[in-house]
Amino acid sequence: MAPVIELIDVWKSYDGFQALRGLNLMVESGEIFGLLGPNGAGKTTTLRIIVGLLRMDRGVVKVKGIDISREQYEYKKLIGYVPENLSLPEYLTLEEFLMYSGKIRNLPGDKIKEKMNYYTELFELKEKRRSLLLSLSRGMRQKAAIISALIHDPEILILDEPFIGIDPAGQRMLKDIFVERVRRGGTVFISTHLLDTAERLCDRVAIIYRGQNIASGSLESLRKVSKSGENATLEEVFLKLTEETKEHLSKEDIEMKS
Amino acid sequence: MRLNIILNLYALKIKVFFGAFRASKASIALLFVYVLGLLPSIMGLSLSIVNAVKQGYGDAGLYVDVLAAVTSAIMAAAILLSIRGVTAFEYEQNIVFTSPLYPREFLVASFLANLTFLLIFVFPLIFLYVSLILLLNLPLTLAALIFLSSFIFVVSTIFLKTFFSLVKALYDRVWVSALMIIIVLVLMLPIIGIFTPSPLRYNALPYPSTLFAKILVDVILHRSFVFSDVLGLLLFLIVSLIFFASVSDRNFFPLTVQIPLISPFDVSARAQVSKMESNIRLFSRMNLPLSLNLESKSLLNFLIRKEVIRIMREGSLFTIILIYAILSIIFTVTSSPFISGSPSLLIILSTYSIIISVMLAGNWRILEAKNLWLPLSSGADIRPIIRATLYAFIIVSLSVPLAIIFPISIFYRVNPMPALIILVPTSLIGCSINLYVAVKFLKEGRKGIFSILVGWLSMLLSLLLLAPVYILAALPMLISLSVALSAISLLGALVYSIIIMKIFLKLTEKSIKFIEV
Repeated sequence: MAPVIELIDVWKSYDGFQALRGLNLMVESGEIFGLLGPNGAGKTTTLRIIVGLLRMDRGVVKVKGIDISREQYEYKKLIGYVPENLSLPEYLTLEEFLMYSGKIRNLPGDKIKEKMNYYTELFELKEKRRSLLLSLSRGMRQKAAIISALIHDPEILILDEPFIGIDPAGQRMLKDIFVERVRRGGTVFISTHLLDTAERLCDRVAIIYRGQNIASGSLESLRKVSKSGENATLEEVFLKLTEETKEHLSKEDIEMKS
Repeated sequence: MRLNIILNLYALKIKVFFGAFRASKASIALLFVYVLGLLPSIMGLSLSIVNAVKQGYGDAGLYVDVLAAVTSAIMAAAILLSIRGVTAFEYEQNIVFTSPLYPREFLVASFLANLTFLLIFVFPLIFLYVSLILLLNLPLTLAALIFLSSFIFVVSTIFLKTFFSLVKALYDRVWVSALMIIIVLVLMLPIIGIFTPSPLRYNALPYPSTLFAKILVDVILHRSFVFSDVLGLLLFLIVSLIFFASVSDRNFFPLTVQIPLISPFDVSARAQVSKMESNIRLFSRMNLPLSLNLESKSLLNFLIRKEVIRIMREGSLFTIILIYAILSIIFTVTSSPFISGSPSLLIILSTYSIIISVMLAGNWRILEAKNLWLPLSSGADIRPIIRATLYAFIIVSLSVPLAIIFPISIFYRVNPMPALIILVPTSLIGCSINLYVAVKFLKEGRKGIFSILVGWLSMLLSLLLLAPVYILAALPMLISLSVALSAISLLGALVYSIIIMKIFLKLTEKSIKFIEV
């Protein structure tokens, strides 16, 4: 399958911290791809670079074959993005916010209303449409952000910890939406700490550690790479791989110092 | 009540408040800047008071009116702050309120802590007090009277504030807020007597603030005092203490409103942003009726309206109106005897409208820039968003001063045209430059002290680029130009402002493409 998102030797540092160190990654069309890694591994930085909120120091990022450092805007029309640290215009009501999300994407008003009706019904937010975002719970605001990412029917969904704060029914619905979108040819790229969810939901995952991709592929292929057992869970594979890399890097550090 | 519990709680509050000093030397520097910055003004004030007393001029009644207006404003502010109910920090809600502690013990510890914090803030006023006693050679008894009456006034006001906060928390009804607002209005209404020959003057009313002002003015001007004024002030203390005692044993712990814990001397980036956010949210008016027109066909109109709604609902507009109105009142009071047909007051007010664009851009940087992730990640054309933000700034920075300048011009029968000629370019140039600087230094500008520097930088740049406008606007007033030449110079000022606005709009649109959020 053709790569939808491709990262080649991407480096990024900020505030004296090297967040990405030559990251290579490939997300294929029609899959749910999970980006896993411990805290500070560079997951959020990776997603923010792809959606254009951060600029990489060097490397190449391609979305549907478009080099994003050359063509910085058009490719974003294909993307729906939900950040981890949600900052929403809390002074707007839910429907004002969704109308704003649609309008800046040049969607016609009736189309926005149609999508708004559909998704607010689906996420059980219909009665909250006239409520200020400020008055909504964390989970409801997360749902609002997800609707905003879906409103223009994007081909690629990029979501940073999308399940945080959402109730079990909402999480189930979200997973169904992801599966349905992939079935229709879309691509879903999520970053998550929920390894159980990733194991059940994702077709392939990548484990990144200190800004590098230490393993990627399906669970079966990761089991082989990590030499875990046939029945090893993603959690066991993840811990084994990250622990090995940690030891390896520590040895390298000691050698370099000596 | 258990004294050891109260003292422990008091010690904890003091430690928390002064925590900033332990965290950073910059906080200590800030305290020094505060004290040293105020000292010259305090010295100047004390010398002018002494001079006025020694030369024997001045209207004692007017002094009482002005001093009572200031002290009434302090009382009014205390009551207005009570409208939020009882506030508490997160650590107090989680740790203190879950301990076996009586409400009155907490309130007494808070009272002592508030008194201590106040002592820190009014520290420069102690210089004023000491210098007045020494320079006027006041006898010890009168010096003690000034100190005691000030102490009684402060303590009574704290009791009253606590009482209203508790009443608001315990009986959260509309009538409570209405009552508090009526008291504030009653307290502030006699201010009219300072501007107009109205019989409603502080001097003629038995307000606690008037009694306090009378004692101070009598002691300083006449070296005497009226005993009934002191008795009245004591009565105020007793009444506020009874009010406080009547509700202080009620369990208000579950009814407290959480506020962020930020020491005023904390200079960290997080504290600076939180401080500004909480200040702005204090004046938030989310329930205003204006809503977004979902049927709007024009994207630009939609976005302008959205920005205006943001400015209104987030409380920026209220803060701007409040600050600009206070400035206007101060300028009007100080220059009212000299207005008589001269446009100088209105021109000063127009010039000062630059602070509105500084505030608008500053608030945008703190509260709205973090929401830019949505348009920036959506592939949307960011230019209409920037334009809409600028136009919304211009609308607000024009309409607020206009709403104040027009009534003043009608009241004093002054031609508003010269002021408008300053106002429009100030808005166009001020808003475009402030927005540009806010965007240009977006990442750095949200960090602590730097955010304040960004505000200063943009104000300086605005004033520099406004200089030609001031010259062009002043020409017809300074030299006798023909009507045609005057019109040309004024038109020149307007064209120049539009050109500057367009240049900075383009620069902002260019800069926003390279920002990281």
